[in-house]
Amino acid sequence: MASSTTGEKKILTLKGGDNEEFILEESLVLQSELLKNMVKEERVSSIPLPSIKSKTLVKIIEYLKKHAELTPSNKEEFKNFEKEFVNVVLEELLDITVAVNYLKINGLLEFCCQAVADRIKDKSVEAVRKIFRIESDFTPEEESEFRKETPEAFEGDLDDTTN
Amino acid sequence: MHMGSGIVMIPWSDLPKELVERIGKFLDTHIDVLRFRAVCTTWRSSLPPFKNSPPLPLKIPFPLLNLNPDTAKPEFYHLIDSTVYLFQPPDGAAPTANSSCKGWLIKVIKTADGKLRVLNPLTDRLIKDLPDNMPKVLNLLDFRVSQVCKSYHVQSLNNSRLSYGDYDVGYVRKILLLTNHAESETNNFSIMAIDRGDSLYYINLGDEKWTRLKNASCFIVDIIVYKGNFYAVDRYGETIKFDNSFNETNVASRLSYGGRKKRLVESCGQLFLVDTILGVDKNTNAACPDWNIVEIKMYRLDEEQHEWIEVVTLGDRILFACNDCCFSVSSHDFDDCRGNCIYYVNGWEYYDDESDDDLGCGCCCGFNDDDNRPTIGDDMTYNSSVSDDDHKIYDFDSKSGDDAIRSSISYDNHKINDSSSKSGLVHGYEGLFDQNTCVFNVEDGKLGSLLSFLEYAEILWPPPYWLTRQDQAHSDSHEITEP
Repeated sequence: MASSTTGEKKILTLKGGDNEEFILEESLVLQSELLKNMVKEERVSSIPLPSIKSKTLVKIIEYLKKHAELTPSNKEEFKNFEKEFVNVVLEELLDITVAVNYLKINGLLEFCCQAVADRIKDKSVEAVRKIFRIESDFTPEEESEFRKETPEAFEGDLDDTTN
Repeated sequence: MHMGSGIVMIPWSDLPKELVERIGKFLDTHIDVLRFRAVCTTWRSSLPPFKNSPPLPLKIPFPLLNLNPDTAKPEFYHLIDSTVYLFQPPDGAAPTANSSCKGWLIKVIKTADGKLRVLNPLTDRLIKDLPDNMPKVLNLLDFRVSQVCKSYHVQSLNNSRLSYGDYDVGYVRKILLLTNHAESETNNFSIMAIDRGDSLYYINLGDEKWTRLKNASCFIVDIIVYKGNFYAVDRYGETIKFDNSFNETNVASRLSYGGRKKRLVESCGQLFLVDTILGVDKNTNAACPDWNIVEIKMYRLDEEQHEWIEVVTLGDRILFACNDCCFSVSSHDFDDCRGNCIYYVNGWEYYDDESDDDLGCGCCCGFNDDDNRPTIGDDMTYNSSVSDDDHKIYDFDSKSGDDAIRSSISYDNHKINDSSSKSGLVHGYEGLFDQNTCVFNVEDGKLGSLLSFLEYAEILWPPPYWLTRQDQAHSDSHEITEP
């Protein structure tokens, strides 16, 4: 895809995981360290981002636009926007966080990580493992050691313990 | 242009380690860090074990006001902490017919010798009458546990037997620790305390003695850390904010009407004042000596108007106006338990009519002479010279050092209660509640002892059904384990 310009503004195309294309001003993506380097060094005009779902990309672009409009006078408004931005189902928040980490958008990354931390704060270990699809990988020796000391520590399904 | 080919979708189980680290560092309570590190080995290695900052117990000079600084030998006490936890059943637990309350509040105090004791959060009484069917071990992996609030106490260094005057409230009505994380890497901190004479003192890291805040009112009744600053309220409601250098700003002027016992409580990021007004003895026209509270008023701080604004409802919030720590919870944490109420304690002392024996089991006891007790340093500064052993309960089992994953709280001295034989409902609450532990229903204005409002008692006692396991063998020692 050839580089195109409208007036002074450079235009860039981002291609999401499902090949959907997003056309935006190059200045917006400079907030991403990754894209900034690609734009500056390789002088590309179209960047495929197959690891990022289009839905996630839409959200991130929305943020980039809002952030670019941030002025001292609409600070409060931006704060509310940020709050709403992470007020999505946990799965979506994690998608966004992983993508933002990949794109290296530093301010947003800190904010997303804080939001993820807040979400997992009050959850049991088992619930966190389920959310992140993590299998405990502690060695059987470790687990049997725990079990000896605290018999029901790792036994059974989480829900069994409530009866 | 050719970036895409090598990139694959990242499943969350393979979160980049640096991202796990970034998320982990936003966890600021011990319990959250413990759980985070129990998920898997990658997560465990992404976040170091939680360190109290400064490490507790911390040696502090005592008493606050040394009347004979030239002759008296400097003395030290330990600053120790306690934590109120909210226990909730695991996610997705099926509701059952006997499910009453879906949240349970307990307070765990860690004495200077590293022992953990379970207290009633309202009264600070040691919980020792545990039902037979309480699990021998409460595994924190099995429940949703969150830290509600932290409070601080002082504990004598050297006496093996408590006398009343040595008990923390004997000298110190309330003591708070404030860590200034932002200041520097060296974790600067300050401690503020109200003494028995309602005077206010502070001490900073590196100071050799306490400084009395002379300009402050002589009748300080409560202090709190709110949004990173110390706040103090006097008996008339006048409220002062202190900056890092203890310069004062008046944030609320005195109330036109009120009682003498006031408590500062934070709820949903706002500062509240709970004012308890005593009944008046008709014969002497003096306040009733038995703390016969007839009215409770609530105020919200209006930081712009510098005023306490009276509020008539707390919505779904539940406030706890205790002597050593005040906190708030949401009624949603307890499902069908009522919100819009205040739990409070009559009087100043924790142990109004307890026998010596009970005192010996109180919040600041358990310092039986023990060889590995931290020793008193010769230096006058209150550095945190505490052996690593003092942290072993929280920093995982000593056997496998940092890699072990459990630790335990044991309730020793626990006796089996006769109440399990159903000798009476109220009897089962004896010792936990007395006439001085009360609740105020904001909705209908009713207030009184929890013994008269047992439906309000259940967030504290008895332990909820989902905590108790019928298949547990009866045991003399109960434990709570932490991941």
